[in-house]
Amino acid sequence: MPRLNDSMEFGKIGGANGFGFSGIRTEHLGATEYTLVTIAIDVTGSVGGFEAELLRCLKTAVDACKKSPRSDNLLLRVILFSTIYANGVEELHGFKPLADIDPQKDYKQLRTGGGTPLRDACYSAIGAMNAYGKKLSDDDFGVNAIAFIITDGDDNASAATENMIKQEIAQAISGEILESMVSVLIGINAASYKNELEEFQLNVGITQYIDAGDATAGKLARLAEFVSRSIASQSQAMGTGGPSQNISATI
Amino acid sequence: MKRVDEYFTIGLQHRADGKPCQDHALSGHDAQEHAYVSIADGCSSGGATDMGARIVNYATMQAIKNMISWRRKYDLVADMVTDVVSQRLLTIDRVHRELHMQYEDLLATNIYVFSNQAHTYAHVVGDGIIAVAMVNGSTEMWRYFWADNTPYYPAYDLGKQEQFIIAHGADGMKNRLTEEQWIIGADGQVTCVGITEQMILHGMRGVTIDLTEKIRCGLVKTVAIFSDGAELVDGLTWQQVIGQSMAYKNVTGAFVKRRMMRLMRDVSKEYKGPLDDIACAAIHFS
Repeated sequence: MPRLNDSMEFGKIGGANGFGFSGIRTEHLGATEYTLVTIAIDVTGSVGGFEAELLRCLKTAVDACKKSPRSDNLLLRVILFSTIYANGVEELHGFKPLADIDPQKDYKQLRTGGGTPLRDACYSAIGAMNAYGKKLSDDDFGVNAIAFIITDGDDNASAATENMIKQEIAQAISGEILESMVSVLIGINAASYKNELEEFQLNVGITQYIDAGDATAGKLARLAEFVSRSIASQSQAMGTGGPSQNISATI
Repeated sequence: MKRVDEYFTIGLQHRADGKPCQDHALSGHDAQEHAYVSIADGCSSGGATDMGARIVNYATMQAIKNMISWRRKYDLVADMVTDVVSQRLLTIDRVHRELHMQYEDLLATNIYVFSNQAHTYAHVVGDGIIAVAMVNGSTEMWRYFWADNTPYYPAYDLGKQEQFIIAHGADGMKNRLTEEQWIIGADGQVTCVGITEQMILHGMRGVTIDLTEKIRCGLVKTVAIFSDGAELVDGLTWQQVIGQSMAYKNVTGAFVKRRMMRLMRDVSKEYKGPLDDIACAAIHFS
């Protein structure tokens, strides 16, 4: 990984061009084990209208994680996906400790527009956890991971193929790099795409698909709670050799 | 800059027997470039030596902190050892009386390393291993063990010296402590470079290795100490355990714990892993 700045460095995902990520340099990490967390948020045109609630949901989830007893063992990456970004995916920030994140200040208003590069988002989310997880593992850190991909629609504009995602997921759950990996595809306002999203989830091997229902303030608040609870659960599963088991199938 | 960390874990035998881990490790440092690490290994056939190991270890650490706070200028490492050993004994005596502990509860070996701007040394009472990873890639190791696996414990200084000598044949001049010196070359070659037998009376005072000159010359990367559990890791020789334990990928935060946890995890995949409790601690110089 070449140096990005003093504390963060940049890495490439798999062999694919255009897919990169950043993460805190491991020399700055002091604990024995970490859970990598990725939250991928759909900011396509159709999200317009509830982007403020979605942002509030993200802030609430991250704030809740900061209060978790395992907060010192979490490294969070947040990405936004839409065709308005050059490669379909933009990092809000790379993998960094929660202590270095102030959601209220760091997470600005979401800009929406463009099509849905869902496959690119999934590839970036899982691929970055594999690549950065390997770096942590090579440095003797214990590492597992959890990813949430939040979308309101099916893919219509990706460079990554289902097979590319499938390979990354297969590697992630093989136990060779990450102790375990959980991935959750979450549909919001996505009732009309339920079948397509479920099929996509099964095809590529995402752990589960959850239909969060309509984008109401109440539903998004519950989504935030679900995300933070799932992160805590996966982090607590570290050292058991497997993924957390108590992730609710509904929100 | 000096970094310190420590690790200890229960072995398979004690886990299977429902016994607690009887090894313990501590580390500390401050902004004035004092760094200190200490490990203690409780006697398996003693009493509540899991507690004894902790008391001995904390007593050593407190003795070192006292020595630092006195701000006395030491010209000789031997004087530092004398002060730490006497302070340690006072604390062990006081604490065990206050807690109404049995004498057998206190039976634990102790190895510590102290480093300040002027001196760096390791001191061992009992058994275990001192390892020094050099900048040139080699690792020097000193392994200590007593005949019949009957080591001297710091708590014997509370009036049990004579009994200890009798247990070893009633002749204090007899050689009963063995010091083996080994080197792992930069190429991985493991060589025994010397075996020295030491008298009981000498071993009872503890053995000091003065590392001051090596540190001053910038030859040393890491000084680490290990309990004798490092000699009982299924699937690895003790030299491999030491070599691999000190192959730190980075030295921030819990660097000893990370390396040891990974090593134990890896070796447990194919073998039984640590059969005995293990304690280790290290000072890294950069």
